[in-house]
Amino acid sequence: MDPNLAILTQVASDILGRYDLELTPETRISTVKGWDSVALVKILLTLETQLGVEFETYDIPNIQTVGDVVKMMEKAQA
Amino acid sequence: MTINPSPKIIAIGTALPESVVTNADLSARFNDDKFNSFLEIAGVSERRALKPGQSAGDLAVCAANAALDAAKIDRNEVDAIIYRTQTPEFRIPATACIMQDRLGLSAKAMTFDMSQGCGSFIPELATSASLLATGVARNILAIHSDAFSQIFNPMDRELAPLHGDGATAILYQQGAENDAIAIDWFEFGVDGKQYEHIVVPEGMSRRPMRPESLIEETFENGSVRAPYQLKMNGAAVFHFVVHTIPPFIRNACAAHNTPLENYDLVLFHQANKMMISMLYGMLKIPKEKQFYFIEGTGNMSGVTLPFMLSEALKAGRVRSGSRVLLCGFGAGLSWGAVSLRWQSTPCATPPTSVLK
Repeated sequence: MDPNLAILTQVASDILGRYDLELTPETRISTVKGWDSVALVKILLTLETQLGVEFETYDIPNIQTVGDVVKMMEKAQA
Repeated sequence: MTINPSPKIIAIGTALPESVVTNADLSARFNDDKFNSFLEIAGVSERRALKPGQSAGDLAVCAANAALDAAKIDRNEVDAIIYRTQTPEFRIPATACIMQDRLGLSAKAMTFDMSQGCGSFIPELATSASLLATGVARNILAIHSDAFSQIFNPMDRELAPLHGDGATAILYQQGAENDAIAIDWFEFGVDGKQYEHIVVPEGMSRRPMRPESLIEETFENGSVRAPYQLKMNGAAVFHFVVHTIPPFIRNACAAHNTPLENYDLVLFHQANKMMISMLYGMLKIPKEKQFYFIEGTGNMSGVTLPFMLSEALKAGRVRSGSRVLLCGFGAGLSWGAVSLRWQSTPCATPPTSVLK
Protein backbone atom coordinates (compact mmCIF):
# COMPACT_ATOMS: atom_id res chain seq x y z
CA MET A 1 0.00 0.00 0.00
CA ASP A 2 1.15 3.53 -0.71
CA PRO A 3 2.74 4.81 2.54
CA ASN A 4 0.66 8.01 2.51
CA LEU A 5 -2.53 6.01 1.98
CA ALA A 6 -1.55 3.82 4.91
CA ILE A 7 -1.00 6.87 7.14
CA LEU A 8 -4.27 8.39 6.02
CA THR A 9 -6.14 5.15 6.66
CA GLN A 10 -4.72 4.95 10.19
CA VAL A 11 -5.55 8.58 10.99
CA ALA A 12 -9.04 8.30 9.51
CA SER A 13 -9.65 5.09 11.46
CA ASP A 14 -8.66 6.77 14.73
CA ILE A 15 -10.77 9.84 14.09
CA LEU A 16 -13.81 8.03 12.78
CA GLY A 17 -13.47 5.36 15.46
CA ARG A 18 -13.67 2.66 12.83
CA TYR A 19 -11.03 0.04 12.19
CA ASP A 20 -12.76 -1.68 9.31
CA LEU A 21 -11.94 1.05 6.80
CA GLU A 22 -10.77 -0.12 3.42
CA LEU A 23 -9.77 3.03 1.64
CA THR A 24 -8.51 3.22 -1.91
CA PRO A 25 -7.56 6.31 -3.89
CA GLU A 26 -10.89 6.03 -5.69
CA THR A 27 -12.97 5.95 -2.50
CA ARG A 28 -15.32 8.92 -2.45
CA ILE A 29 -15.26 10.57 0.96
CA SER A 30 -19.01 11.12 0.90
CA THR A 31 -19.46 7.34 0.92
CA VAL A 32 -17.42 6.78 4.10
CA LYS A 33 -19.75 6.65 7.10
CA GLY A 34 -18.89 9.40 9.58
CA TRP A 35 -16.52 11.28 7.27
CA ASP A 36 -18.21 14.69 7.20
CA SER A 37 -16.62 18.14 6.94
CA VAL A 38 -15.75 18.12 10.65
CA ALA A 39 -14.04 14.75 10.37
CA LEU A 40 -12.19 15.99 7.31
CA VAL A 41 -10.80 18.95 9.24
CA LYS A 42 -9.75 16.73 12.12
CA ILE A 43 -8.07 14.30 9.72
CA LEU A 44 -6.23 17.06 7.87
CA LEU A 45 -5.03 18.74 11.06
CA THR A 46 -3.84 15.42 12.46
CA LEU A 47 -2.00 14.59 9.24
CA GLU A 48 -0.32 18.00 9.31
CA THR A 49 0.90 17.42 12.86
CA GLN A 50 2.03 13.88 12.15
CA LEU A 51 3.84 14.72 8.94
CA GLY A 52 5.12 18.13 10.03
CA VAL A 53 3.56 19.85 7.02
CA GLU A 54 0.88 22.43 6.26
CA PHE A 55 -1.69 21.87 3.54
CA GLU A 56 -2.94 24.61 1.25
CA THR A 57 -6.40 25.73 2.39
CA TYR A 58 -7.12 26.49 -1.24
CA ASP A 59 -6.95 22.77 -2.13
CA ILE A 60 -9.48 21.68 0.47
CA PRO A 61 -12.73 22.40 -1.43
CA ASN A 62 -11.46 20.15 -4.25
CA ILE A 63 -11.28 17.09 -2.00
CA GLN A 64 -13.76 14.51 -3.25
CA THR A 65 -11.80 11.25 -2.89
CA VAL A 66 -9.26 9.62 -0.64
CA GLY A 67 -6.85 9.99 -3.55
CA ASP A 68 -7.29 13.77 -3.41
CA VAL A 69 -6.11 13.75 0.21
CA VAL A 70 -3.15 11.51 -0.67
CA LYS A 71 -2.18 13.96 -3.44
CA MET A 72 -2.31 16.81 -0.92
CA MET A 73 -0.04 14.82 1.38
CA GLU A 74 2.42 14.23 -1.48
CA LYS A 75 2.34 17.89 -2.47
CA ALA A 76 2.96 19.05 1.08
CA GLN A 77 5.88 16.68 1.52
CA ALA A 78 7.51 17.56 -1.80
CA MET B 1 -1.99 51.67 14.14
CA THR B 2 -3.52 53.44 17.12
CA ILE B 3 -6.29 55.97 17.42
CA ASN B 4 -6.00 58.96 19.69
CA PRO B 5 -8.28 60.29 21.01
CA SER B 6 -10.30 57.13 21.37
CA PRO B 7 -14.09 56.82 21.31
CA LYS B 8 -16.43 55.91 24.10
CA ILE B 9 -19.40 53.61 23.73
CA ILE B 10 -22.46 54.96 25.51
CA ALA B 11 -24.92 52.20 24.65
CA ILE B 12 -25.13 48.79 23.01
CA GLY B 13 -28.59 47.57 22.01
CA THR B 14 -29.19 43.95 21.02
CA ALA B 15 -32.13 42.21 19.34
CA LEU B 16 -33.13 38.67 18.42
CA PRO B 17 -36.11 37.30 16.53
CA GLU B 18 -38.74 35.58 18.64
CA SER B 19 -38.84 32.45 16.48
CA VAL B 20 -36.50 29.67 17.67
CA VAL B 21 -35.02 26.80 15.66
CA THR B 22 -33.93 24.06 18.05
CA ASN B 23 -31.58 21.15 17.48
CA ALA B 24 -34.60 18.87 17.67
CA ASP B 25 -36.15 20.82 14.79
CA LEU B 26 -32.98 20.36 12.75
CA SER B 27 -32.54 16.70 13.63
CA ALA B 28 -36.07 16.06 12.41
CA ARG B 29 -35.33 18.03 9.25
CA PHE B 30 -32.11 16.21 8.39
CA ASN B 31 -32.81 12.89 10.07
CA ASP B 32 -29.45 11.14 10.20
CA ASP B 33 -26.64 10.33 12.65
CA LYS B 34 -23.93 12.22 10.76
CA PHE B 35 -25.89 15.39 11.25
CA ASN B 36 -26.41 14.89 14.97
CA SER B 37 -22.66 14.60 15.58
CA PHE B 38 -22.14 17.84 13.69
CA LEU B 39 -24.65 19.58 15.97
CA GLU B 40 -22.61 18.59 19.01
CA ILE B 41 -19.43 20.00 17.59
CA ALA B 42 -21.08 23.28 16.56
CA GLY B 43 -21.97 23.94 20.20
CA VAL B 44 -25.32 25.46 19.25
CA SER B 45 -28.50 24.40 21.05
CA GLU B 46 -30.81 26.86 19.42
CA ARG B 47 -30.71 29.70 17.00
CA ARG B 48 -33.22 32.43 16.09
CA ALA B 49 -34.77 32.98 12.69
CA LEU B 50 -36.91 35.73 11.23
CA LYS B 51 -40.50 34.89 10.44
CA PRO B 52 -41.82 35.36 6.89
CA GLY B 53 -42.43 39.04 6.27
CA GLN B 54 -39.70 40.15 8.70
CA SER B 55 -36.34 41.56 7.64
CA ALA B 56 -32.90 42.12 9.08
CA GLY B 57 -33.84 45.81 9.00
CA ASP B 58 -36.72 45.15 11.39
CA LEU B 59 -34.26 43.52 13.80
CA ALA B 60 -31.91 46.43 13.37
CA VAL B 61 -34.65 48.90 14.31
CA CYS B 62 -35.28 46.94 17.53
CA ALA B 63 -31.62 47.00 18.52
CA ALA B 64 -31.16 50.63 17.52
CA ASN B 65 -34.22 51.84 19.41
CA ALA B 66 -32.98 49.99 22.47
CA ALA B 67 -29.58 51.69 22.23
CA LEU B 68 -30.98 55.15 21.47
CA ASP B 69 -33.54 54.99 24.29
CA ALA B 70 -30.96 53.69 26.79
CA ALA B 71 -28.53 56.44 25.81
CA LYS B 72 -31.26 59.10 26.18
CA ILE B 73 -29.77 60.92 23.24
CA ASP B 74 -31.58 63.47 21.09
CA ARG B 75 -32.01 61.58 17.83
CA ASN B 76 -31.28 64.74 15.88
CA GLU B 77 -27.78 64.69 17.35
CA VAL B 78 -26.84 61.41 15.60
CA ASP B 79 -24.76 62.63 12.68
CA ALA B 80 -23.49 59.32 11.26
CA ILE B 81 -25.27 56.04 10.65
CA ILE B 82 -23.17 53.01 9.72
CA TYR B 83 -25.07 49.86 8.78
CA ARG B 84 -23.07 46.68 8.74
CA THR B 85 -24.71 43.69 7.07
CA GLN B 86 -24.53 41.00 4.43
CA THR B 87 -28.34 40.88 4.22
CA PRO B 88 -29.30 44.44 3.31
CA GLU B 89 -32.91 45.48 2.94
CA PHE B 90 -32.35 45.98 -0.80
CA ARG B 91 -29.41 45.84 -3.17
CA ILE B 92 -29.95 49.58 -3.61
CA PRO B 93 -30.15 51.86 -1.62
CA ALA B 94 -27.87 51.57 1.40
CA THR B 95 -29.89 50.34 4.35
CA ALA B 96 -28.33 53.06 6.51
CA CYS B 97 -30.50 55.56 4.61
CA ILE B 98 -33.64 53.57 5.39
CA MET B 99 -32.61 53.42 9.05
CA GLN B 100 -32.41 57.24 9.12
CA ASP B 101 -36.10 57.38 8.31
CA ARG B 102 -37.27 54.44 10.40
CA LEU B 103 -35.41 55.65 13.49
CA GLY B 104 -36.31 59.33 13.12
CA LEU B 105 -32.67 60.42 12.91
CA SER B 106 -31.18 63.61 11.54
CA ALA B 107 -31.63 64.38 7.86
CA LYS B 108 -28.06 65.69 7.94
CA ALA B 109 -26.51 62.38 8.99
CA MET B 110 -23.72 60.75 6.98
CA THR B 111 -24.89 57.29 6.00
CA PHE B 112 -23.19 54.24 4.55
CA ASP B 113 -23.32 50.46 4.60
CA MET B 114 -20.44 48.08 5.24
CA SER B 115 -20.37 44.47 4.07
CA GLN B 116 -17.44 42.59 5.50
CA GLY B 117 -18.83 39.49 7.12
CA CYS B 118 -18.03 37.92 10.41
CA GLY B 119 -14.93 40.02 11.03
CA SER B 120 -16.58 43.33 10.28
CA PHE B 121 -16.89 44.73 13.81
CA ILE B 122 -13.15 45.43 13.87
CA PRO B 123 -12.99 47.65 10.76
CA GLU B 124 -16.26 49.25 11.81
CA LEU B 125 -14.80 50.17 15.21
CA ALA B 126 -11.71 51.56 13.44
CA THR B 127 -13.91 53.57 11.09
CA SER B 128 -16.13 54.91 13.87
CA ALA B 129 -13.15 55.84 16.00
CA SER B 130 -11.50 57.60 13.06
CA LEU B 131 -14.64 59.57 12.18
CA LEU B 132 -14.88 60.78 15.77
CA ALA B 133 -11.17 61.54 16.10
CA THR B 134 -11.19 63.65 12.93
CA GLY B 135 -14.33 65.50 13.95
CA VAL B 136 -16.32 64.30 10.95
CA ALA B 137 -18.92 62.89 13.33
CA ARG B 138 -19.82 63.46 16.96
CA ASN B 139 -22.48 60.82 17.58
CA ILE B 140 -22.28 57.64 15.55
CA LEU B 141 -24.96 54.96 15.46
CA ALA B 142 -23.36 51.77 14.15
CA ILE B 143 -25.96 49.10 13.50
CA HIS B 144 -25.13 45.47 12.73
CA SER B 145 -27.85 43.16 11.54
CA ASP B 146 -27.79 39.89 9.66
CA ALA B 147 -30.48 37.38 8.78
CA PHE B 148 -28.59 34.43 7.34
CA SER B 149 -31.75 32.33 7.67
CA GLN B 150 -32.89 34.18 4.55
CA ILE B 151 -29.84 33.43 2.42
CA PHE B 152 -28.93 29.81 3.03
CA ASN B 153 -30.91 26.79 1.93
CA PRO B 154 -32.73 25.19 4.89
CA MET B 155 -31.30 21.85 3.74
CA ASP B 156 -27.70 23.06 3.79
CA ARG B 157 -26.08 20.72 6.31
CA GLU B 158 -23.14 23.03 7.05
CA LEU B 159 -24.99 26.31 7.42
CA ALA B 160 -28.37 25.43 8.93
CA PRO B 161 -26.96 24.14 12.25
CA LEU B 162 -24.58 27.05 12.73
CA HIS B 163 -26.23 30.31 11.90
CA GLY B 164 -28.78 32.44 13.71
CA ASP B 165 -30.23 35.88 13.03
CA GLY B 166 -29.55 38.86 15.28
CA ALA B 167 -28.77 42.56 15.51
CA THR B 168 -26.84 45.02 17.63
CA ALA B 169 -26.54 48.79 17.65
CA ILE B 170 -23.72 50.78 19.20
CA LEU B 171 -23.76 54.49 20.01
CA TYR B 172 -20.30 56.05 19.92
CA GLN B 173 -19.21 59.46 21.06
CA GLN B 174 -15.81 61.10 21.27
CA GLY B 175 -14.16 60.24 24.54
CA ALA B 176 -11.84 62.26 26.74
CA GLU B 177 -8.52 60.98 28.08
CA ASN B 178 -9.86 59.16 31.12
CA ASP B 179 -13.28 58.60 29.72
CA ALA B 180 -12.83 56.52 26.59
CA ILE B 181 -11.95 53.11 25.32
CA ALA B 182 -8.16 53.20 25.19
CA ILE B 183 -7.37 51.50 21.91
CA ASP B 184 -3.84 50.06 21.83
CA TRP B 185 -3.87 48.83 18.27
CA PHE B 186 -5.80 47.48 15.32
CA GLU B 187 -4.38 44.85 12.99
CA PHE B 188 -5.97 43.45 9.86
CA GLY B 189 -5.46 40.71 7.30
CA VAL B 190 -7.03 39.65 4.04
CA ASP B 191 -6.57 36.89 1.46
CA GLY B 192 -8.89 37.57 -1.46
CA LYS B 193 -7.67 34.47 -3.29
CA GLN B 194 -9.70 32.43 -0.82
CA TYR B 195 -12.97 34.35 -1.26
CA GLU B 196 -14.82 31.37 -2.69
CA HIS B 197 -14.82 29.51 0.63
CA ILE B 198 -17.68 31.76 1.79
CA VAL B 199 -19.67 33.16 -1.10
CA VAL B 200 -23.08 33.75 -2.61
CA PRO B 201 -22.07 32.72 -6.13
CA GLU B 202 -24.80 34.26 -8.27
CA GLY B 203 -27.07 37.29 -8.29
CA MET B 204 -24.65 40.20 -8.47
CA SER B 205 -22.24 41.71 -10.98
CA ARG B 206 -19.79 38.80 -11.41
CA ARG B 207 -22.63 36.37 -12.22
CA PRO B 208 -25.95 38.18 -12.54
CA MET B 209 -29.19 36.48 -11.60
CA ARG B 210 -30.56 34.15 -14.27
CA PRO B 211 -33.21 31.41 -14.22
CA GLU B 212 -30.56 28.75 -13.51
CA SER B 213 -29.52 30.64 -10.36
CA LEU B 214 -32.67 29.35 -8.68
CA ILE B 215 -32.18 25.67 -9.51
CA GLU B 216 -31.40 23.59 -6.44
CA GLU B 217 -28.71 20.90 -6.57
CA THR B 218 -28.15 18.10 -4.08
CA PHE B 219 -24.46 17.65 -3.30
CA GLU B 220 -22.56 14.52 -2.27
CA ASN B 221 -22.68 15.45 1.40
CA GLY B 222 -26.46 15.67 1.22
CA SER B 223 -26.63 19.47 1.28
CA VAL B 224 -29.10 21.16 -1.03
CA ARG B 225 -28.33 24.56 -2.47
CA ALA B 226 -29.06 26.85 -5.40
CA PRO B 227 -26.45 29.22 -6.86
CA TYR B 228 -28.21 32.29 -5.47
CA GLN B 229 -27.81 30.95 -1.92
CA LEU B 230 -24.91 31.19 0.52
CA LYS B 231 -22.24 28.55 0.11
CA MET B 232 -19.50 27.79 2.62
CA ASN B 233 -16.75 25.18 2.54
CA GLY B 234 -16.60 24.55 6.27
CA ALA B 235 -13.47 22.44 6.18
CA ALA B 236 -11.53 25.06 4.22
CA VAL B 237 -12.65 27.88 6.49
CA PHE B 238 -11.85 25.89 9.63
CA HIS B 239 -8.39 24.98 8.32
CA PHE B 240 -7.75 28.59 7.33
CA VAL B 241 -8.77 29.97 10.71
CA VAL B 242 -6.72 27.61 12.86
CA HIS B 243 -3.64 28.24 10.71
CA THR B 244 -4.05 32.00 10.33
CA ILE B 245 -5.48 33.40 13.54
CA PRO B 246 -3.06 32.10 16.21
CA PRO B 247 0.10 33.42 14.50
CA PHE B 248 -1.77 36.63 13.60
CA ILE B 249 -2.60 37.22 17.26
CA ARG B 250 0.86 36.24 18.52
CA ASN B 251 2.58 38.47 15.97
CA ALA B 252 0.29 41.43 16.69
CA CYS B 253 0.81 41.13 20.45
CA ALA B 254 4.56 40.89 19.98
CA ALA B 255 4.74 43.78 17.54
CA HIS B 256 2.78 46.06 19.85
CA ASN B 257 4.29 44.78 23.08
CA THR B 258 0.93 43.75 24.54
CA PRO B 259 1.55 40.24 25.90
CA LEU B 260 -1.40 37.88 25.56
CA GLU B 261 -1.22 37.02 29.25
CA ASN B 262 -1.97 40.65 30.15
CA TYR B 263 -5.49 40.53 28.73
CA ASP B 264 -8.44 40.04 31.05
CA LEU B 265 -10.65 38.70 28.27
CA VAL B 266 -10.13 37.45 24.71
CA LEU B 267 -13.22 37.43 22.51
CA PHE B 268 -13.33 35.56 19.22
CA HIS B 269 -16.03 35.67 16.58
CA GLN B 270 -18.18 32.66 17.46
CA ALA B 271 -17.87 30.65 14.26
CA ASN B 272 -18.42 27.30 15.97
CA LYS B 273 -17.54 26.04 19.42
CA MET B 274 -14.96 23.47 18.37
CA MET B 275 -13.02 26.05 16.38
CA ILE B 276 -13.07 28.61 19.19
CA SER B 277 -11.96 26.02 21.74
CA MET B 278 -9.11 25.13 19.44
CA LEU B 279 -8.07 28.78 19.09
CA TYR B 280 -8.08 29.28 22.85
CA GLY B 281 -6.04 26.11 23.24
CA MET B 282 -3.49 27.01 20.60
CA LEU B 283 -3.00 30.45 22.16
CA LYS B 284 -2.93 28.96 25.68
CA ILE B 285 -5.64 31.33 26.90
CA PRO B 286 -6.84 30.15 30.31
CA LYS B 287 -10.49 29.42 30.98
CA GLU B 288 -11.05 32.54 33.06
CA LYS B 289 -10.15 34.69 30.07
CA GLN B 290 -12.38 32.83 27.61
CA PHE B 291 -15.94 33.73 26.71
CA TYR B 292 -18.35 31.67 24.69
CA PHE B 293 -21.61 32.98 23.32
CA ILE B 294 -22.94 30.67 20.66
CA GLU B 295 -25.11 28.10 22.38
CA GLY B 296 -28.34 30.14 22.48
CA THR B 297 -27.94 32.20 19.34
CA GLY B 298 -25.72 30.41 16.86
CA ASN B 299 -23.18 32.18 14.70
CA MET B 300 -24.71 35.58 13.95
CA SER B 301 -22.01 36.60 11.48
CA GLY B 302 -20.81 40.19 12.00
CA VAL B 303 -23.34 40.72 14.79
CA THR B 304 -21.61 38.19 17.02
CA LEU B 305 -18.67 40.24 18.33
CA PRO B 306 -20.63 43.33 19.47
CA PHE B 307 -23.35 41.06 20.89
CA MET B 308 -20.66 39.22 22.86
CA LEU B 309 -19.25 42.52 24.08
CA SER B 310 -22.68 43.52 25.37
CA GLU B 311 -23.15 40.16 27.09
CA ALA B 312 -19.66 40.32 28.60
CA LEU B 313 -20.46 43.79 29.98
CA LYS B 314 -23.77 42.55 31.41
CA ALA B 315 -22.00 39.61 33.05
CA GLY B 316 -19.32 41.84 34.54
CA ARG B 317 -16.61 40.12 32.50
CA VAL B 318 -15.68 43.51 31.01
CA ARG B 319 -15.40 46.38 33.49
CA SER B 320 -13.69 49.74 33.73
CA GLY B 321 -10.02 49.14 33.02
CA SER B 322 -10.44 45.62 31.61
CA ARG B 323 -7.90 44.77 28.93
CA VAL B 324 -9.79 43.10 26.10
CA LEU B 325 -8.69 41.56 22.83
CA LEU B 326 -11.36 41.11 20.18
CA CYS B 327 -10.74 39.12 17.02
CA GLY B 328 -13.05 38.59 14.06
CA PHE B 329 -12.58 36.54 10.90
CA GLY B 330 -14.71 35.38 8.01
CA ALA B 331 -15.83 36.14 4.50
CA GLY B 332 -13.25 37.58 2.16
CA LEU B 333 -11.40 35.84 3.61
CA SER B 334 -10.62 38.62 6.03
CA TRP B 335 -9.68 39.00 9.65
CA GLY B 336 -8.86 41.64 12.21
CA ALA B 337 -8.21 42.27 15.86
CA VAL B 338 -8.36 45.17 18.27
CA SER B 339 -6.62 45.53 21.60
CA LEU B 340 -8.26 47.91 24.04
CA ARG B 341 -8.73 48.90 27.65
CA TRP B 342 -12.37 49.44 28.56
CA GLN B 343 -13.62 52.89 29.47
CA SER B 344 -14.59 54.19 32.89
CA THR B 345 -17.83 55.67 31.54
CA PRO B 346 -20.74 53.30 32.10
CA CYS B 347 -22.10 51.81 28.89
CA ALA B 348 -25.84 51.19 28.82
CA THR B 349 -26.62 47.59 27.90
CA PRO B 350 -30.40 47.23 27.93
CA PRO B 351 -32.01 43.78 27.89
CA THR B 352 -32.10 42.10 24.50
CA SER B 353 -35.15 43.18 22.52
CA VAL B 354 -37.25 40.51 20.85
CA LEU B 355 -38.72 40.99 17.40
CA LYS B 356 -42.13 39.36 17.57
